[in-house]
Amino acid sequence: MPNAIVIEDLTKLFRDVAALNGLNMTVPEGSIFGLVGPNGAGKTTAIKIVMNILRATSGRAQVLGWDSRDLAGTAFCSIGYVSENQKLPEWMHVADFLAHVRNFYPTWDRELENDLVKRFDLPAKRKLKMLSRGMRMKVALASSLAYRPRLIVMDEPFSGLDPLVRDELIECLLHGAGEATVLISSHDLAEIETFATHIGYLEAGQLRFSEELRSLASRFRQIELDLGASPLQHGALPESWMHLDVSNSTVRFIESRYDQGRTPSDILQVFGDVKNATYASMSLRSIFLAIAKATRETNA
Amino acid sequence: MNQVLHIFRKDVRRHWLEIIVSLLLLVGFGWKMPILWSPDPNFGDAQISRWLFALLGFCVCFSWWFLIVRVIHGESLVGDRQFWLTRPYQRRWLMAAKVLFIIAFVNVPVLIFDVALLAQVGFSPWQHVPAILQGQLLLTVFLVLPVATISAVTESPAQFLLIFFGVVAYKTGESWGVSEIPSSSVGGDIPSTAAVIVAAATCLGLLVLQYFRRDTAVSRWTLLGSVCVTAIILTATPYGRLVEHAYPDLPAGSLLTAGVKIEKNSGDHPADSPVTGKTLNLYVPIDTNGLVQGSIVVIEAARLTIHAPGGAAWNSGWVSSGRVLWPGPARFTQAFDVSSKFYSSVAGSAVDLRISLAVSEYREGTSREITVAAGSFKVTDGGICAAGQGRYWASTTLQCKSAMNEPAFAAHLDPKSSTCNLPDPTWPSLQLPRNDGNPSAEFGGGAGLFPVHPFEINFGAATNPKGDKALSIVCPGTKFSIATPAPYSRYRIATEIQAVHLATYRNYDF
Repeated sequence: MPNAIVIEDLTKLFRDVAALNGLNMTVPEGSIFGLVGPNGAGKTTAIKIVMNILRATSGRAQVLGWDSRDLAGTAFCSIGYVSENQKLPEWMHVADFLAHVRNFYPTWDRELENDLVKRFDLPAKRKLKMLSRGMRMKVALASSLAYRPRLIVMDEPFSGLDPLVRDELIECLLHGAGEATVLISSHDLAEIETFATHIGYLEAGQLRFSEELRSLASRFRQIELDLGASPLQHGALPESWMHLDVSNSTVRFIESRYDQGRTPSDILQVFGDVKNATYASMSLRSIFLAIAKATRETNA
Repeated sequence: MNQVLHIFRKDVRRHWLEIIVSLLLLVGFGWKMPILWSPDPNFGDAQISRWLFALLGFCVCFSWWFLIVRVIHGESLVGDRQFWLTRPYQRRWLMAAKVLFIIAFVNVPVLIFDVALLAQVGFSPWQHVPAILQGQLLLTVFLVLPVATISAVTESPAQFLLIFFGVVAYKTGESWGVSEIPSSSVGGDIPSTAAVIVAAATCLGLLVLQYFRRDTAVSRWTLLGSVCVTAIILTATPYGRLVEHAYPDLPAGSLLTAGVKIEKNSGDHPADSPVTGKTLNLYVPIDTNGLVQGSIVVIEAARLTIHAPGGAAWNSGWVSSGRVLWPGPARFTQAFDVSSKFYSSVAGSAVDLRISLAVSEYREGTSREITVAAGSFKVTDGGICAAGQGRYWASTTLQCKSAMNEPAFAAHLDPKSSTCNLPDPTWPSLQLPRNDGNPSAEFGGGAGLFPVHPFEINFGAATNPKGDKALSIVCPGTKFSIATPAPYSRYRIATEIQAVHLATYRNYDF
């Protein structure tokens, strides 16, 4: 699958602080790529460099075949960008704003615009500054979908929105995006989980991992073992096991490379016979919490 | 190109109120402009009207600043949150749209304003196209470019004001610093022009850089760099040498050299008054004669050098003068600031004075005889005059208006030809020929805001023999001649006087 975005060794220093530290990442074409990570991980910086809003200190990014540093003018006819902290021309009415941006796009679809306005229930005659945060996000999204871009980049679009508005935004995004590639950064793992096809985890300016959401969900398991008696000692633990917790005869841990055949044999090798074993699937949130915690422990 | 009109229309929609206010202020300013065309009032309502007019002028300029700042900040080039950064704006069309807006609502209104006022007064705007365009250029260089540049490197009006006032404070300090450099008031044309060119080129470059590369950090450093460069130009210029280069020594034995001398104060010098302050004024009277008919000499600058016994010396540097000399004997007094310390050290001794004068000589062209009419009458191609009361004296003055700037002229009046009812036409002061003129036309023409320039042709005071009544010597029917002077040469002359006491030159009235 060709990639819509390719990021290579991207570094961004703000004075002496590295917001990005040799970031490498690819966003496959047609995917809905969720970029997640804790606050200060570098998500917004990475997106702003990709969008040519900020300049990288070193490294490069390619967006739909363009070097991100050359991204300007007509290149943005194929790209939609929505951000939580974007400054819109607040003096404009909703209808005026849509009419204003419409003129820049040869591929603008009036029918889709009308459909999005109806779907979002946008008040055409109201000034943008009079709109709630959620409504403003809807206007920004509508104005970024109506020209059917090949790539939609969204930076924390759900931040501070109530669940109903989030659902509406997601629904419209999925409805309007069509075949477009979507790169979306978010803290809201539960929401991302519902529609992302790929996931990337960014921390301290580096991508810890990036993969299809299905494969991620299938390789993480919360495992609980009943050994029948307290283990006096056990063998070396596989690297893929995280957060081992032993309490009397019960052992809990997270397996990050679960395999139906290999994982039971690893358990057998470490603990010997077990009385009972449960393998529970994990939510995206639990997976990330586990990864974040493990990283912190490693760094400590 | 569509983008240009599209962004322009959007900006007009957004700023329509500011545009109307700005245009109304300009109309009001033009409406009240005739206040300037009458002689200066000294007190009362007319003075208040002038202050209000000046305030209105400030409001016009402020409305332009405001419009330029707002329209550029509409698509701010600073920051990373503006929606337009990720829309298909072509940067060159964005810049063109902003230029179009400024031309449409700053330059074009001023152009129309100039043309309308010139036509109202009776000048043909077509005859003054170069001067009108010169006014537009100056308006652009001194107002539009700096305001647009600061707007392009700031994100908000507050940031703009911060940098703007910083620049104003810096320029004020710079002007003060430069004024402390000897000869800077005379030899400053070349460095000032160079500084303006550097500043204008920097502004243009930064606007292009910001619109095409949006590199605010580099732009701000460049702005600071250009401020430093202009400061270096203005402070490191050898002003004295520039004056000496521009005004070479007049060959020895020439007529004017023989005709310039410092007048020696006769008699003993009075008891010296105490010295206070860092400097004190010396007033040196200088006699001139020997100018050929048809010549006008402008003393552009003067330099006083004092040589005291024992080798002590001091010189004033070049001090601007501006005195205009006409053919025939003349005397004028040139003031110099002298260091109090040096003065005190030589006050008791006889010293030698040497005065150097940097002069521009003009020669009058063909003169025309003009007859004063009852109402307004044309004097030259660029002037419309009317006989009337001068500022302080009765009817020795013609109140004139010219297009864009004061023209160069040399006017002569023989009071014997006056048609006024003179009580004693044999009175000696009425036998002296009267001259007035402006040897060189001014540059700039009020940067477009003052297309009609009021000026006076003042033939000097005339009183009755008792000296208690002002006489009118310019009345309808009075004839005078007028010619256009042309630059002839520039040179430097010097004259010396030996063994004088400085104290004798401390009083202006000898």
